[in-house]
Amino acid sequence: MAVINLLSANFFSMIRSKRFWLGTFIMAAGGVYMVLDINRMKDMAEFDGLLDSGVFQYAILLFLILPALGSLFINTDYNDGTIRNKLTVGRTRTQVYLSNLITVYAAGVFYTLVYEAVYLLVGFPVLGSLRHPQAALSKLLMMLLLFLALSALFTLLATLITNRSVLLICVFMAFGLILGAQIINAKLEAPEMIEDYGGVTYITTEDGNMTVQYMDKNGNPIDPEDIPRVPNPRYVAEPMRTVLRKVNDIQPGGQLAELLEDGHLEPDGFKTATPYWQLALYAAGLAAAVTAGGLIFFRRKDLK
Amino acid sequence: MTNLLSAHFARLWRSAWFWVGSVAMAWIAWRSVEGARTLANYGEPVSILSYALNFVLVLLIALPVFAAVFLNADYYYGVIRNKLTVGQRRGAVYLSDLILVASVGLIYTGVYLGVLLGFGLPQVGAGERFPLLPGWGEVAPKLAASLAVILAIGAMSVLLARLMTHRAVPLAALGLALALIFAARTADQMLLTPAEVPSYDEIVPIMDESGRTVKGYRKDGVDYTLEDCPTEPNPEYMGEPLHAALAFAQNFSPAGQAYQLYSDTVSGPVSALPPPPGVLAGFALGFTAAATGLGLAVFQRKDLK
Repeated sequence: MAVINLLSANFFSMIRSKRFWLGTFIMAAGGVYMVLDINRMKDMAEFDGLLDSGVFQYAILLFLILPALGSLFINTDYNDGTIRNKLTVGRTRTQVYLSNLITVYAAGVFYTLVYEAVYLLVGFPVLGSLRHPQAALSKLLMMLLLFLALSALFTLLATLITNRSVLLICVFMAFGLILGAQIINAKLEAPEMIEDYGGVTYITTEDGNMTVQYMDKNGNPIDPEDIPRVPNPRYVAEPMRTVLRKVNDIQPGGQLAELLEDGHLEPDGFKTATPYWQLALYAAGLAAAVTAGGLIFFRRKDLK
Repeated sequence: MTNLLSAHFARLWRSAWFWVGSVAMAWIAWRSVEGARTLANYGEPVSILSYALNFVLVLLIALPVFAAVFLNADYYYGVIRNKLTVGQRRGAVYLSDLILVASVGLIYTGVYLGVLLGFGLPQVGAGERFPLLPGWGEVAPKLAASLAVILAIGAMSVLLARLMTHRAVPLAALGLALALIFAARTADQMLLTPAEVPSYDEIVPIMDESGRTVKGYRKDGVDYTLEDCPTEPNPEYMGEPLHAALAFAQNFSPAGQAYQLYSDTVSGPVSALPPPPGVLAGFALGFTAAATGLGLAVFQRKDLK
């Protein structure tokens, strides 16, 4: 009952917030923009599953908006002193923490639904129907779990850091998670062996075509088949390879990359995907662990 | 004003966000050096000068965010009223903010170029062996123009930070910076759209006058090269006066200026033809004057309670 009162107050506050509706507008505008962009690109190249290609493009935007909105929402409690009011009227710290988490996550779900509704409503007449609706639905459920983990992470930060700098810290951390995932994937893509040549030059053949000529270390022309292969110093060997792959599977930025790109490239050039059940387990586990840690620290936090 | 600046800089050196920005600029420069070195190791034509103007686009994000964080503290802690109470004029407060933010821009530029050129020149070189890559003769005037663009970005940053008192202004600054970069890129693509496009039925290989096989265009059974192929109006061309208005907006906005400096010197999509560096600097100074004038006028009337 107490949590329901808190949630009721939180939702009421959120709905009256201009920033919340600004975020809603951005998500809706993103849906319209995506349809227009795909429609423009389909004239330039062969496209299969046109409507499918934009269903999850909102995710990167939401990955940045949700930490901003969530941290601003929670930080307002500290800024205005309402957090002490909540505790004074008898709410427990656990109730306050969990109601904030649920509110932030609910905003994320709402934004997802706004984007999807606008995108599909505008997209159906222009781009046709979804080619793979079941795949889209299972990916959507996975996205919702991902954003639960993200909400938990930034609720923790926004609750423990009372300074207004938390707004920027959360957004930059979200950028960092995305960038970190890209860097890790790029490192793990590096092949084990690489070609060892001195350089390339471009020559025109007798029939007028431009072709690439490889040169060896001494500057002499060499056939591609004769180029020696050497161990790649940038190749990430075990056990670090497994560690980095697990980091990317667990951290929300890595999960986002995995879902948006339908897997990751291996050194042999083939794409492999981490099973959804594993990603779901990691997301749920991260959400639970971070929330548990947040509750423990919040109970001890000095709120003066 | 001297006292205001003194207080600003004393606080600057103790600001964690300032040092975070400095480290970020150094890291970005270092990544550029690493990328260039990898290309050089493979014998690819590369010049470290190709990365010399990347910092301008980074400053388009860094300066508004820094200004928002640093200057918003004045409102948050009530310091702004203290400054006015001790006799400082609003105009002096605003101009000292502008000088501070522009100085931070110059410091960040120094950090970026120091790392890029300090490590990049010995390891990668300035591309003297590759005449098609930008050399000092091309990059130096643009670096000089970038100083004016930094001032314009600083003026825009201070305008936003002084007019918006809410503690969410750093988020607004970040969102605005990203939106401006997106708008500049979109405007660039729109300006690149040609007024006319080749009119042809199919693309075919043809022999040119020197006997080489080149790409040809066939129309009504007749083969043409690109130069003599008949053209037709491009339906995607926006036409005048919109095209001129967009070009002016792209040149006048700090984001457009930064984007043109950035995209003209790195490999990738070719930018719409930017004006000469001196003209771009003129636009930047014009924007600085306009933004500062507007900011001063509004700040003079602003209710600071």
